[in-house]
Amino acid sequence: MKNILLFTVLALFSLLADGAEFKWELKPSAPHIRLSADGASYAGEVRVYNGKSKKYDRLAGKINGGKLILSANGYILTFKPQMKGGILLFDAEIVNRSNKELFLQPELSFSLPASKKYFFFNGYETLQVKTLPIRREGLKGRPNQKLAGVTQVFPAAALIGEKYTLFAGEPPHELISYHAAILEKSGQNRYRFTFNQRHAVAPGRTVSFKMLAGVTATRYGKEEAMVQRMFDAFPELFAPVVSPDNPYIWGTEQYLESWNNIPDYELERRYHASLTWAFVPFKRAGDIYGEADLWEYKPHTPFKWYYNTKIAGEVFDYRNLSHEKFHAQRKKVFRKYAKDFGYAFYNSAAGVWCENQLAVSRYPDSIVDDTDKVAKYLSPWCTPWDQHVRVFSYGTSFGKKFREDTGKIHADLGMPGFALDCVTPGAYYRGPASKNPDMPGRAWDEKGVFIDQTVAIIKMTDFIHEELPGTFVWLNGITGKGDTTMLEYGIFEDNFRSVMPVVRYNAGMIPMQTRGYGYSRFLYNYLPDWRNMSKDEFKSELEKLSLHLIFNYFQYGLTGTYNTANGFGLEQYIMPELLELRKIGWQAQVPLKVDSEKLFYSARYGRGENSVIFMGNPYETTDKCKAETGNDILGSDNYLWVRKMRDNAETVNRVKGRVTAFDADLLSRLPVLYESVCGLSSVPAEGVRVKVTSCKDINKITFSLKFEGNKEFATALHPRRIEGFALDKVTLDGKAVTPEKLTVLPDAEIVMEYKSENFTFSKADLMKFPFADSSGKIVMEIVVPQDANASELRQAERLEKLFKFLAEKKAVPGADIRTVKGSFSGKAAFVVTVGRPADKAQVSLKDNAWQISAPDAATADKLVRSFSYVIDSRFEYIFPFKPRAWDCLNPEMLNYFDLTEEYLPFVRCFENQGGKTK
Amino acid sequence: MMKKFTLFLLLTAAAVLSAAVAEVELSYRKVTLENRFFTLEFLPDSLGRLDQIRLKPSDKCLLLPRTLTRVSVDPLYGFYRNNSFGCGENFWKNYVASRDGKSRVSRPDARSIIFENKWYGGLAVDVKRKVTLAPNETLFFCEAEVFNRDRKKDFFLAPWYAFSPADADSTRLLIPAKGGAKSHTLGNTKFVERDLITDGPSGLYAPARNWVATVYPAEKCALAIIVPPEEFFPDGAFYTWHGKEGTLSYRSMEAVLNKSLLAPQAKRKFSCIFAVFYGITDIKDIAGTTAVDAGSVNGRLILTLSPARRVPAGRITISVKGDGAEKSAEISTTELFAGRKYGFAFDMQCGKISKITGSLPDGSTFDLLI
Repeated sequence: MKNILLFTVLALFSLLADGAEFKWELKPSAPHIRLSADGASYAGEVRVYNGKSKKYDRLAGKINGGKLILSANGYILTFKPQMKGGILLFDAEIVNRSNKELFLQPELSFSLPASKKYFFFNGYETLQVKTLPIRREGLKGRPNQKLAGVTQVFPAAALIGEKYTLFAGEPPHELISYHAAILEKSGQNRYRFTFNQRHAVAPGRTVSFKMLAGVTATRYGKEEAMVQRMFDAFPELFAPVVSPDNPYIWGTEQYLESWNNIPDYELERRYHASLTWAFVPFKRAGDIYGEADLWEYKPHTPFKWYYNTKIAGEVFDYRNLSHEKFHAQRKKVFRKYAKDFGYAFYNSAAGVWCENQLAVSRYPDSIVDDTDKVAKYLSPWCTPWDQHVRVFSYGTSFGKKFREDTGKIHADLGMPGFALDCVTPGAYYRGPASKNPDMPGRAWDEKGVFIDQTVAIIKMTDFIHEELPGTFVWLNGITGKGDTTMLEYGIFEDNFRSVMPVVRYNAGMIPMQTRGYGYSRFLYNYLPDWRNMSKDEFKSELEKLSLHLIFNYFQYGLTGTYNTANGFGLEQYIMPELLELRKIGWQAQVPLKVDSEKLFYSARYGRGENSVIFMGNPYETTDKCKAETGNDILGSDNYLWVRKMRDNAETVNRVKGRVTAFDADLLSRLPVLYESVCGLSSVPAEGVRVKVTSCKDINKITFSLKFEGNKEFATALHPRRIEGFALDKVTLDGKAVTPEKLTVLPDAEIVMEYKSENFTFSKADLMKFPFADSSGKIVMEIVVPQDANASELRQAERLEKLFKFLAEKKAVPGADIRTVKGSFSGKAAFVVTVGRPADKAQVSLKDNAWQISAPDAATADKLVRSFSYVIDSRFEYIFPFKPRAWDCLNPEMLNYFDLTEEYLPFVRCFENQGGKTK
Repeated sequence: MMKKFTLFLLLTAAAVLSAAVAEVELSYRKVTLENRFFTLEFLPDSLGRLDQIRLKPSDKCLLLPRTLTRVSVDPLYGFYRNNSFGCGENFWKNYVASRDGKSRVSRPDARSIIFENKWYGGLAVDVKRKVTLAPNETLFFCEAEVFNRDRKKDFFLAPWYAFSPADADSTRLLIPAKGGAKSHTLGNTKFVERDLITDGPSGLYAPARNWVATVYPAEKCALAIIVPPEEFFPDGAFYTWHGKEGTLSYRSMEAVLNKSLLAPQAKRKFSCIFAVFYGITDIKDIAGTTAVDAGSVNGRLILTLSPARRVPAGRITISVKGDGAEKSAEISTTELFAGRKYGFAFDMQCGKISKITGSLPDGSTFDLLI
């Protein structure tokens, strides 16, 4: 007994640093874990269910070196604790000391008083605790009937009480084939909340795994607090793997528009497109390279013309396409367009499907036989002439070849990314590789050992990132480490509401696009009586739907589909802000309270001083409300806010304790954004009142903080980070200061000035520049050096096309713009130099010319694209309803209401005076 | 300044307000037509669909009702969700079962009701339907007219009537399916070897007769769709869909009428009869508007008739073909009334019977599917 007591004391840890909201304690005997928050205590037990004896094993515990070591007959289980962010993370392992394979189910199991006031987040959805048990077992999908596809479960569950939320789970992207979250009754007036995993451990082998637990205050939502703790503890696992500078992952996608058709750079730029789903650039699934010896085969049904037979102007008609011509054409397409249009090579799903004959003859060990809630065969699918069979792409013969092919294709075609379709869990592989004791993710059930498809997909995403660095992974679904991801449901579909927000929880801060149906078919059902509507009534309905869509984009950090933007002015207008926010990073917990019922939508992007809050009022009237932000959720400072506008804004902040309060404008049916301009490390106990103003221009951004009626206080100031701008100086009452250490005097004023990293001219310069003659016709020269290099010519061509597009669309009366080699003649011009000595990434205005210079081709691409968006602000163009893709507004409706060349009027909600420069 | 801070106690967390989708159960407005046998309930806000047949005096409902839910996602996006039940004009390839729309309703006389819709269900057609329920009949007559509003395009018109009978777990579907047909004008059909009455599975069936019925054993009655042969052959077909939504089972009975291409600005009229037959638990054919069943009791053939419309007094003829003999007989009958069952016994010893045909005093004929 003495020994136990001694160990208990030694094992007592008490941490409240690093954002932890609870203390924890580890003991050698059950309950092994105690998590304590202010006024609440949760006792947890580590248990092991033995899948062979069908009983819980008896465990003898001790604490050694801070680890909980539990011994059972035949194995030792070790839990090594550490605090990570606000989470207690266990690095655990099972050592099998027996000569038999073990089927074990380690569990974190908490006992607590029963209450009907609890909610339970089971990894898919938050359910009110009415009838127990609630069981979410394995990765096969939501136990609820309202299942929209098989969506990956969030790797932690939470019991949500009125004051505190107790949670348990595992980090994301673990190579685990089975985990479960269960809430059940446990004796009289007690509940048991359990998170478990299953491991098959071969004789003499060690299996390592992770589990986690924690307590967080139930504020600002239900499961959102727990999800946010996960984001905060594992930020790198909820963010893209490739560099933030990757030029592809942050834009929109236009589905197959730049794949089935010859891509048009200027058109795609105007849709902010940077990604292309390069769909099925192969003849036969499973043979993504196109091997000579696999080329001729008899398909399940005859080869035929398919909608992606034509790729970027080349015909891939497999009825008569030779192996050599296939490779030549494919290389030509990728070499010509892949880098400009973000081609993501459609990688035979994610190595999940293979043409059946090929799999049977070459990769029989790889075939997945599981048909429990999943399909074994798929036909027709991406190659409609084939029958496909489900395969497992890790540790198998298929996996080996698939990796070789992936590398070979990348070397051959040089594409910037891979598109991984069907990245869903739920298919169990029980083939020969699952018997390999060293395979990761070996789990068990009543049929024996299996490995979930999830494990192979995670390994595939790791392979791409590790072996082909810089290559982005585009997921359809959320399994594995993606750099960007797609949700294949439209905003108006029931399925969208069914899978949200869990899909976003899984994606974390990864950019996400929706790819659902647009308006066409939907409107026929939504407005069946559309022919009996007036044009105004019809447009009014469209406007409401578009606003609903926009609010959901901001709510979940989504960018739109290629088939909802045309004609919808506001959707086109808000896209720069939406993309900016999405890049800052969606967060689960929105620490915002308001005194208005009109705040229906809200979201938060970014952390600390880089946060932005979105507010959406879908009601018919505007409301002014009192808003407050819980700064302790955002970071370690107190934050000052100003309405995020493109030109200027002013917001009065009142900061006290860890709360910032301000009056917010809940504009009717318009997105409203507030951005944090800085964090203050400390404020006086009685609070401070600060008027924050912003003044933004193309070349300069200024935030000023005017303190009102404050006492003197010392603080560090952490200015907001602004992409494309560098903090130039911070002044306090007119004197330059170091923001890390400030003494703020009564009624002081702090000014933060940022300079554009690339643009040295103002909006006024832009607006008065003589691009056009007196008739409005564009008359410009693009001057490149006499010995112009490829990049200079390429940028010149892009600028030319920008204006020619405007002329073609009749946004300007005409465009007389041409590229000349030589020197600047004095006429209005763009002067482009790339890679010349002294070239830095800059656009400046000198005399009558825009001087565009860049040190290298990649920088030039980025710079001219950015500058093009600047030019757009002078020559605004809104795409009319005329369809972009097949599921935009149906031509029948457009013709009926004569809407083809119109677009919905919209409020330029991010600009004062409707965007007109004073 | 402190006063301002106290205000915030009233604030509510934003995430709580961005609440889930709100769903409210609603009910459709109804208009009725009735006689002494039953009440017909129609939905004037759902293209005039027949929603219910309510028997008198038991108040038994023969159909699964159409349900209506208002789904509010937010103040900008809300919609109505229904279960697609209710019988109105639906069209093969122009599916409007889930669509609602307000009808213009008129009553030319006490026995009839008319529903008119422009742009019916969002289609480029106008539909006018007149339903007539006579005082002493257990059938109602439906006459519809479809006008193609389009000035350029033909409209593919294959009228489609569908019922979703209540009590799918205890009722019995009777589809007289044509044997040997693997496909039909409207698509691939469920295959049966010979002409027979089947109850499924879900799918399309080539018709052996011009009627389809559902028997309600507990009520000893049957509900049938009877399509005039000229409206049904050669292209018409039956369809059924079996399923379960939550705890609710359903098994539809549906008849698709002849197809045609309706020219721009052209009209087509068609009609259909819906009948309730009382006192029976099986149907082997329908002679005109009289359900016919047959069985053997003590070596005698018992012919059971259940008229939905009065049959005048006269002679009933019957011919029976067995493996031992082929015999004919006739019998006189008094007037037969709707809403009742009549049994007639015949001594017809013919061995194993393979065919029973006959006629009723109103001139209608039967050819039982046995």
